[in-house]
Amino acid sequence: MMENDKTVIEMKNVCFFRPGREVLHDVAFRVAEHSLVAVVGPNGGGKTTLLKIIMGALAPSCGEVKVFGGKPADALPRIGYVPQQINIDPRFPLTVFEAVLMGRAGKIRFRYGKADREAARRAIAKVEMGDMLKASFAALSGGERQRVMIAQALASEPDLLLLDEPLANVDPAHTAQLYDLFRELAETITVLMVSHNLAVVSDKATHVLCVNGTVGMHRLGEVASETFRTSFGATLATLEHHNCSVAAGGGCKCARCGEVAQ
Amino acid sequence: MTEHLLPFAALLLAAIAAGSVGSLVVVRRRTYVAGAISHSMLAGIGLSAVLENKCGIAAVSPFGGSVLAALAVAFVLAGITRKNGARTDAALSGVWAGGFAIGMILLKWATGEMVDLEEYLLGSVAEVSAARVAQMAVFTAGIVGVSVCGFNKLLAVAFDGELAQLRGVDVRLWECIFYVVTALTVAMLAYTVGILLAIAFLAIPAVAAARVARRLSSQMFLAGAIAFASAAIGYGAETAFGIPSSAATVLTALALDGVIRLFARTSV
Repeated sequence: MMENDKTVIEMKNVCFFRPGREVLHDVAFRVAEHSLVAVVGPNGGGKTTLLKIIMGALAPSCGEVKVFGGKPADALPRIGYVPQQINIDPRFPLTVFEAVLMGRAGKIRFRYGKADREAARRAIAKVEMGDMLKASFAALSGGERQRVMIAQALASEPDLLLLDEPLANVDPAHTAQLYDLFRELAETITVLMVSHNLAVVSDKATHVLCVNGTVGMHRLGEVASETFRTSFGATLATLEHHNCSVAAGGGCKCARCGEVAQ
Repeated sequence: MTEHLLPFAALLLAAIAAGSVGSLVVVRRRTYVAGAISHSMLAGIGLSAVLENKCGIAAVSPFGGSVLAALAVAFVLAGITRKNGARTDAALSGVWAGGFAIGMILLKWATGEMVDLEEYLLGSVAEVSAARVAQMAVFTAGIVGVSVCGFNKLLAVAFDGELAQLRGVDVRLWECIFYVVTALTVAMLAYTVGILLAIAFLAIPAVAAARVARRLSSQMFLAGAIAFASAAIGYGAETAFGIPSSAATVLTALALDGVIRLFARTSV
């Protein structure tokens, strides 16, 4: 568990069932503000489900979830979210600027105002796409689209940013720039980021949330980055934590249930 | 010359409404919804005829019946598309054919004879009345007003409904507004210019415009222009050569789409 500071996310005894299986079991953790939490774990381990529970898009089958001290649904206006993938027509007629402005769609009554457009411009500048405002969203590469979606989430000026594998299609140069951006953002807001890039996670994240049916929170502050990177090259690395271990490749061993999975 | 003013006014209003709503329908891949609504309207017209001929109730005009049927079907379709997911197309086909069949039976029952469907399928814009044009003007003003005021919300929901919900947009409300506006547009178009032209008006110009438009707002303007150009040429073909205007309009729209496709880099 994370000590100190104001708690942004708190889960107690949370479980989530889908027909035929339990996706999350007895999840309990806290995230303090200004953390940059890397969410790691194998495919199907429940990472996206966890993010959706935090946003209130999914209701837990049992347990208690608090975001900013209240119900997740009430905290939604303060949350920015970048999905793993978007289900759109790739030829959807939309400019980059319009796509980013959509991050403000929930904050307006009908039309966007000057403040909305300025927030969108600031967000686009942060992902270094300021020269592509009028570009067609359809003409962008997968990585560029992902950067637009990050800008869209930032345009809502969130206090909590949830990123579901945000850099899957982004080129290495922009990946490094965006990780720096997330680190910088964590100085003023809280960031949770699903990632498979454990080497970068070790450099940038303040904590690791290991999700594989169960959840363990690990603090990286007292672990040297180099040690951590080396540890992830081994088959199983035990980090400084309360009750969990992290395996190479994003697998997890949870002391609570004793399970190890890749 | 003045006898052509009302038909041209009707076609212009139809093109404006079709351009804005048709573009939304096309980017959301809901043209099948427009087809189902337009065919199900026959049930509303049939119901109006039954009420008048069998029950002596003339309170519901054929156009009023069309609008009521279109709205009812739109809400059914909204529920179907939300719940059925990948199976939506099959359910829409059922509503499409079922609504049409109910309409035919009700009209047969009300009039006692088999109905000539040509009037409903192809319309008769040349005989449009001033009252009908005024009615269309009111509908078009409402449709365009909602499209303009709600553009940003409708765009966000069309882009990705789930994401829009997470951004704080009341997706259920704006989905409802989308279906209501689509139903009213289809009802207005189908009753005035015929079911065939209503579907063509909504789909073909919007698809053609999508080949070159980079923004939805541009697509709406361009689709309206293509729709009006097609309709004007189609109407001219009828007055000059006796070719049914609806059929000529559809073929003109398809030809314009083909020309745009030749010069555009994208395909839809």
